[in-house]
Amino acid sequence: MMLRSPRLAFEAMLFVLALGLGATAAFGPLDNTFADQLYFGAWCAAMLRFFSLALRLPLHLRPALGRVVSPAIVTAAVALAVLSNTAVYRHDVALRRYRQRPLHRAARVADDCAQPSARCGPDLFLQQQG
Amino acid sequence: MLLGAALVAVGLLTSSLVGNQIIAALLSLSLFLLLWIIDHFGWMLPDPLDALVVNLSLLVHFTPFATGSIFLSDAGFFFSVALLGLFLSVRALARR
Repeated sequence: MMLRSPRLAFEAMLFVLALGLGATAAFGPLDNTFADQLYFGAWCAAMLRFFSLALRLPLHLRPALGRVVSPAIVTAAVALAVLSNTAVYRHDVALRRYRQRPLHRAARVADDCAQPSARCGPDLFLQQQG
Repeated sequence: MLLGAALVAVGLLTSSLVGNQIIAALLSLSLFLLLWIIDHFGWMLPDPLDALVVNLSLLVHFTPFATGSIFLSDAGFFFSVALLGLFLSVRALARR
């Protein structure tokens, strides 16, 4: 079946992407770090899908209805943002991207400490400083 | 980029809520500053509220990026703030 508009196709793609990433992370034979990244991808796709659906909500309502529905929509959006952040915070993952640049002097001291006969510690460090 | 997207969305929301450009700019800058330092006040609050307020802080979420650690919750925070700001801006502009 052909989807009627590019927007519907985009939303369907986001839905499939969120489901696929979540299912792969849950049932696939992956290590934990990669599975967590897939979960985060699914979370992002789901958030984009919610955003796209929320933009379709009616903007202009009758005044009597709007006084109730508009604050409810805003409250629901804020609640969704808080809950989704809580979920991703409780399932947090750190991707360490430190640059491997040890100080040359500290690396030399560490190398010397690795030798059994070498003096180690502050004496060697001070000696090399001097 | 994520921090910039979140700040632009919050500034857009402020600008859509306020008619005057100068007031919108001042309000946006005040809001940015408040969101930047709110974690200093969050620690004074009682237990359930402190985690919520501290996690609103932009600095708390941005510092790990600056030190080389990428936490997915930090990226998610900026992403969701950007989306929420854009959505509320659309609602606010439609209300005018």
